[in-house]
Amino acid sequence: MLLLQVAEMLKKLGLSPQISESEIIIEKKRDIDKFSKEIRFVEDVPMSKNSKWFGLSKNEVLDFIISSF
Amino acid sequence: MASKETILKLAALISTDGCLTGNPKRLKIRFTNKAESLHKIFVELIKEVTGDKVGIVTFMNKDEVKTTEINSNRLTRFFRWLMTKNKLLPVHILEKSDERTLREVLKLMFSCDGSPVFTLKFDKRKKNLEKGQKNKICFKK
Repeated sequence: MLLLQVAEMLKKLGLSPQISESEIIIEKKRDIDKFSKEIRFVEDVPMSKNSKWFGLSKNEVLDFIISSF
Repeated sequence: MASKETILKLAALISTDGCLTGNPKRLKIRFTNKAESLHKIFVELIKEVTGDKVGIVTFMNKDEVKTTEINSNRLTRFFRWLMTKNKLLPVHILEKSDERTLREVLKLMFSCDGSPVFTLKFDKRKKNLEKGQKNKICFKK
């Protein structure tokens, strides 16, 4: 139910996320771009230790995604 | 009196990386997250709601993840009532919220541990990102 609430909020902001049983996925270039410009993450929030991106902030990785398009 | 926006932001953090816990005599709100900045935001929001009148305890758990604990029967009961047992965000506040508030709430929820999961394709030989691969942001809770 929380997933549905999050998806609904994203839709209200004009994004079109995909919803599965256990996750919401934002993968369209337009949506990731909009997420990057309008939402982003709290500054200095790090990537998880399990991630190969550990050591970078979530916003830095987001910027990598944008630059990869 | 805290604004509805403040209460919604706090509910967002509790629903993603927090819990309402304790025995009936001593109820607690517990927030567990690796990011120092999120703990600061959590404490600021708590102070906005309570006016600096509650006990705030921070400690590291055995996995060295920081935990911030608020000992307040009143506040815990309030959020239990507001969010229901299913940890839902308060719908009546959510529906009346403007776009700016929704963006702030989403920013907090996506910043919590476990979300998002980035799956970027990385070319080790070229040492940069492959162009046009399936990059995505996931929210898993």
